[in-house]
Amino acid sequence: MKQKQLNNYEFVCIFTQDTTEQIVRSTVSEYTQKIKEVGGEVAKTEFCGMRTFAYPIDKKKKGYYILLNLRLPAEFVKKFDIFLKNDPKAVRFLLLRVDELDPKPSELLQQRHNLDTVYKAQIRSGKIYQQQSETA
Amino acid sequence: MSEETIIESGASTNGPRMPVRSKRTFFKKRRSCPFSGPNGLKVDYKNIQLLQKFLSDSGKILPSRITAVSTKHQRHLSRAVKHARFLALIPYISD
Repeated sequence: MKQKQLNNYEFVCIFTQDTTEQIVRSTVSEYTQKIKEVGGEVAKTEFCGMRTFAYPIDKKKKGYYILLNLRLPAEFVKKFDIFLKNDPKAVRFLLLRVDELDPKPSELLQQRHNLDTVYKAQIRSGKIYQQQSETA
Repeated sequence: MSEETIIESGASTNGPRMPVRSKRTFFKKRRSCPFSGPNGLKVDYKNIQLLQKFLSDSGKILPSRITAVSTKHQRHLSRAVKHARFLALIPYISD
């Protein structure tokens, strides 16, 4: 049987400021389960934390950012798009097809607001990133 | 033929030679594109610090004649800026 061709995607999603870290993690695991059901892969999961918006979205000032590196079959992308649009927890999302997936921690994780220098150094050395990826 | 050329070049030695000013006295070497080449930076919509270097104070994308970004990378850059704006990482307009 011919195997499905998978494309590389970068997926950034913003959750509402009312959500807690636990809810975010459970929703992300819900997404990953959904992706794995259709034969996709999750290469990287990053919880980039609460971030202040550059402009208000739905009269909210903050949001919880996540970043996933995905390998999805092309047919699933449209379904996933519709599913996310109907998800009230996701304020905004961006699903982009990319040529290559970057395994390193993204700039979004490194350039977080309101972080002290020690925490930033730990992220750069890969300590915190490893912890997060293990728990995910 | 060769004699003529000698006479011509000798003519200039008669008087004191005036220093010839080149037209490009204030020529400044043009900066190369920061994204081009093997060691070039990578255009990334998540890297806000990088994108902000190519934006004006009001949040507009600077023209490539100022930032010296190549045409190809200016295209990638403008797309990256628009993705970052959509995700509320950088503002559409700022005062």
